[in-house]
Amino acid sequence: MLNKYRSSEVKKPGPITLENVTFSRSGRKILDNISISIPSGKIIAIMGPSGTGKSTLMKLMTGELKPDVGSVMFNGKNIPDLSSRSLYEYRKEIGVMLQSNALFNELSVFENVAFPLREHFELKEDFLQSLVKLKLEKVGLRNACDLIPSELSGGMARRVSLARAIVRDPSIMFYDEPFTGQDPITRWVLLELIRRLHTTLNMTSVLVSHQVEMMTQLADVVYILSEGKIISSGTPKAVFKDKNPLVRKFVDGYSDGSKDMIHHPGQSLVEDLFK
Amino acid sequence: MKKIEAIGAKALNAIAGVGKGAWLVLNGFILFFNNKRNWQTLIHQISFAGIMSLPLIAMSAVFIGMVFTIQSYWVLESFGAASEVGLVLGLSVFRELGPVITALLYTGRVGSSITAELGLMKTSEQFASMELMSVDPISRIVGPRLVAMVITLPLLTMFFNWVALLGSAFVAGKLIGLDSGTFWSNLKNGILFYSDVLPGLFKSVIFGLIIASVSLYHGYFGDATPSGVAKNSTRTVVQGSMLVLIFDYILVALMR
Ligand SMILES: Nc1ncnc2c1ncn2[C@@H]1O[C@H](COP(=O)(O)OP(=O)(O)OP(=O)(O)O)[C@@H](O)[C@H]1O
Ligand SMILES: [Mg+2]
Repeated sequence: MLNKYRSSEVKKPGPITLENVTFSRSGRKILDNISISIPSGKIIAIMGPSGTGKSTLMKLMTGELKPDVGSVMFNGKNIPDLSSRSLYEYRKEIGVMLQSNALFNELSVFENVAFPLREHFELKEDFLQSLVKLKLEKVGLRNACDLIPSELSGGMARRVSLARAIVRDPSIMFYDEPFTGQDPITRWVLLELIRRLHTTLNMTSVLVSHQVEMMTQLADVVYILSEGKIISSGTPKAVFKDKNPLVRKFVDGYSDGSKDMIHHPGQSLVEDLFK
Repeated sequence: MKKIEAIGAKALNAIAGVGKGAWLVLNGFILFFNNKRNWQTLIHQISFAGIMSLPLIAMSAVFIGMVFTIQSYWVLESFGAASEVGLVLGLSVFRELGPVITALLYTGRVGSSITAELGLMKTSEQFASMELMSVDPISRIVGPRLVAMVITLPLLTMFFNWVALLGSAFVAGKLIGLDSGTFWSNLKNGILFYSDVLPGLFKSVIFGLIIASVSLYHGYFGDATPSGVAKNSTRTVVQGSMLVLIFDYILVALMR
């Protein structure tokens, strides 16, 4: 329907392949020799405890960060090697919902969602209005279009960010924890939205999420990331049955209380308190 | 030894900073013309940096003009040259007071807030998300602010100059009781466009460029944390003011 203003025809995007990717921050290895592939046309879930590098992994795929070692291949090109012009070309095909929303604080909800369209296409104002309103309707915020970001609740801001990410109908979507701050009903509505976008636009979808139940329904492939490594991967059914204790801990919840919570690496509590 | 190393590191940092700042400003200027939507942003920025600064500049100019007139009058009177007060004030305003004081006020009002604005955008990942939408923040954010600052500072300086003269004329005429015809004709005959007015405006273009570079540099490259943003705004004011005064001296010495 919207092919008219898309830069390229609707075609399946190629797969994204990460090979032997290592990434450190302030001297600490966050991702340690990771190889995964994001097959085209599939819904991929990246899961794992807080602070293990899921957002970092996503930022490597969008070209926001560059790996220390390893390659991130897309359509035969290594994303970290792209010139800024080719990187911008690549990014015209992708939509990203960042964990921090990153809404433009001076623009209204409507203008935030309209921003990518105004920047890249010369659309007639009434056509643009209807496009943006349609996206806002999908996330249930059509009537909030005149608010500015500081007037939104956390969950609403999340959905504006989602609407802005999908407004260009990208062929690859990256969602970093799209369900945070949503009530159970909205969560399922968003899940349906993500699924519908995925199938109607024939896209590749990459999600970071903690929702085991929802990912069972939605994802084709699940990767579980823990302490810089992929500890399990495959279909949700297989992964969520994996006997690996780290996987069990994540899937069944941290049943032993904070003892089993995955901490930022460092000294133990005893060392820290009685040094 | 440690101290010398630290000084060396600081010096290297400063040089790298100047390089990065120059790169940013050059790119901002070139990329400004890459996007025609920037003209609209430019108008918005000119209104923020220019029009919204008018009250501050007007108030400062009036009072500085008035005070300076009284002070010079006292001195000139003892030489029996009271009627030259307009000329003395005019020369000081057009050559020094106008460009320098406007630039210092501008650093505090516009420079610091540009740093804070960009810093906030960086902290909340707005630059990153722009780039993810294939929009270059150097073109769309840095460019228009740079051009707006270089345009508005000379205009504000002209405005300062005239308001200061009006303040001075008011004190000279109404309070001191000098003949206002003499006041203005002395001014008109004594102040030359090419040697007094134009050099002042030229300086203010340079000051605009300096303030823009400092404030955009600290906003764009500064620490993306809330406390970093606060510190960087202060840095903009301190470094911007210092550089304005230093360059004022250099330019005056060179233009002699
Ligand atoms: N800008 C940064 N500088 C230094 N370290 C960072 C930075 N950003 C993230 N980290 C570190 O990188 C690690 C991974 O962060 P990341 O945001 O990728 O985690 P995550 O898996 O997305 O966690 P969450 O589920 O809480 O979002 C964390 O341990 C964090 O401390
Ligand atoms: Mg994260």
